[in-house]
Amino acid sequence: MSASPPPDVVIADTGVTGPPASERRPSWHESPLRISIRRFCRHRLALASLITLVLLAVMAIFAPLLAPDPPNAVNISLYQQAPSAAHWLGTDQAGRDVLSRLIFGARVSLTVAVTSAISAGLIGLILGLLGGFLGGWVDSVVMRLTEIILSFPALVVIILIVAIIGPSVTAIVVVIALTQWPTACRIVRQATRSLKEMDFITAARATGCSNLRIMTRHILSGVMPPLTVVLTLLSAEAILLEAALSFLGLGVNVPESSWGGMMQAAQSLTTLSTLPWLWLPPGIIIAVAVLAINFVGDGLRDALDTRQQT
Amino acid sequence: MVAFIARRLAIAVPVLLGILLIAFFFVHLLPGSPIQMMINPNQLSGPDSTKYLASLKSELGLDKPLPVQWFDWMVQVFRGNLGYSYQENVPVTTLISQRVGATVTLSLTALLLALVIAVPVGVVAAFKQRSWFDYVSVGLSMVAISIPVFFLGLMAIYFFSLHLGWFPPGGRNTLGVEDSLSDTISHLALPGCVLASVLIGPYVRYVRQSMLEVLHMDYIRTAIAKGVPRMRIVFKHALRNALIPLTTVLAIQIPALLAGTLVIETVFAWPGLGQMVYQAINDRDYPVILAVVMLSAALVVVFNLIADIVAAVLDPRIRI
Repeated sequence: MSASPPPDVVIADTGVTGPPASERRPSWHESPLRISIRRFCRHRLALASLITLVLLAVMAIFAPLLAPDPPNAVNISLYQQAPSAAHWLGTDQAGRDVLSRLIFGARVSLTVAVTSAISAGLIGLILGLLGGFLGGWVDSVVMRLTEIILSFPALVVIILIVAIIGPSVTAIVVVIALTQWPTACRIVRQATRSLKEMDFITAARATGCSNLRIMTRHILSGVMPPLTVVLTLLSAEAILLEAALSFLGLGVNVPESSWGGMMQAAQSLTTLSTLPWLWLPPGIIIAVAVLAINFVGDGLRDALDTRQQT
Repeated sequence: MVAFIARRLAIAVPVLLGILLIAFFFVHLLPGSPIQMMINPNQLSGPDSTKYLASLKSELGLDKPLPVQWFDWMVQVFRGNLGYSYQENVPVTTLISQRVGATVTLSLTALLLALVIAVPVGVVAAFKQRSWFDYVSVGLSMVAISIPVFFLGLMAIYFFSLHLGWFPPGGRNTLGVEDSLSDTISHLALPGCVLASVLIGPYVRYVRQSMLEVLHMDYIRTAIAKGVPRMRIVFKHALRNALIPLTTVLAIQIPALLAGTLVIETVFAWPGLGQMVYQAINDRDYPVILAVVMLSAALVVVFNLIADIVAAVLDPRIRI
């Protein structure tokens, strides 16, 4: 298969130049990737959500250019100001510009979302492939391990480990990955088990492929679609966990800004009632980001034709 | 049936032991000695300080190797002793029993509220698939899943308590007022509803999905062909089978419910286990955290077991 072009570029192409997706007939020479992209584009909400996410990512990448003020610039004379022309979202208790902190906070949330989802996905992929393909005691061990980890309320365990290794972006990513991989693992295992019964695997075995080659080459490509869907859902979960962690005061180091951390001040009832511009914007942006990721996940599920696995 | 239960038990026991092992090691890896937290710093500078520390250490069993500590601790656990709080010098079970009522009240309220709302909504959404009701309820449940639970809590306090003044912003009772049902309910309303919203989203999606699957089965078509009234098909024929997977889902969602409780109790100053854990983590009160982590994980295993057995009783196909 040729190298796949970046999805957003292709989406722009099909969306703008081609005839409406519903009127085009699927043709036999259309690659699975193109079929998926076409199906995804038909899902309006998912497409809008993808655009939202791209905008958020752009905001995070170009934060220093977009933010009106440095996010950590303390200015006591300007403390707790309501939103105004100079400070669109007001200032916090240290006189820092809320909008700038919101823009920089996107870096933390999105980094955590992407890296922890990929790490969790990798652990889940490896263990799920091994368990599903090899079966027997390996499978039993992997399954018991997922059950053990799924039994813990993830947030409590995450709080515990973050207290051990100290709050930092790395710690949060590691901890989220360590508690969230079972979801990915179960999906990969299930897909692997159904794939390995198929004829092309028998054919591969007949031509002398080793277990390792069958797993990494033949099964891996079949496992990717459901794994992609799970990865999006995992990254949504990661944003929520990071936000909750920061809200409880175990997030990234002060003074670095993160969306959850910005809401921590609202634990005091006075702040909550008199300074709504401190906690409303970060809360709304977290909800928007997570909602967008979830809709993209839904769109991907339809586009990649993977049935929801419970 | 007996074989099925035995097989499930054989799976549950190693899982439970694994949980105990992981919980124990996690908590002992925490930074800061628990001893430092419970003695007066002035005593550390005195001449007897090392001896005093050593005696405290052996009294708490902290000088033994970790595997021995784990084994000792498990023996105690099975005798019903979950250790003593380093901070308060009372048995952890006492602390938990003081708090567990508040948490159970809150989570049961939320669970019941979620079920009462989610089951009818999910059923109607599936029955009227692709109607505006379906789209709105699926969309709203997605929104409910995506909003951070503490943000929802803050908004609830901001609007319903601080601005409208309908409900108190936190706590379980009004101080200095005699306990009354209406007082409890008004304190329970906001945290209960917010916590319920965490569960409603997934429940609506599961009920709808499961209902859709059942509605497409042959026996439903047969019932329609026989001329059974629609409502009777939905409630008598379909709903019974559609709700079987919900027993499993209820058990699966318990960790989410407990985690949600932790955050919600902190936001609403609800004096339950979640608030206690939050406090204990700040105080490095190992036995307390350990007990709660272990109890909640054990609860999940037990509920999974019960859910599996209930599902097997309701649906004989699962037993195979």
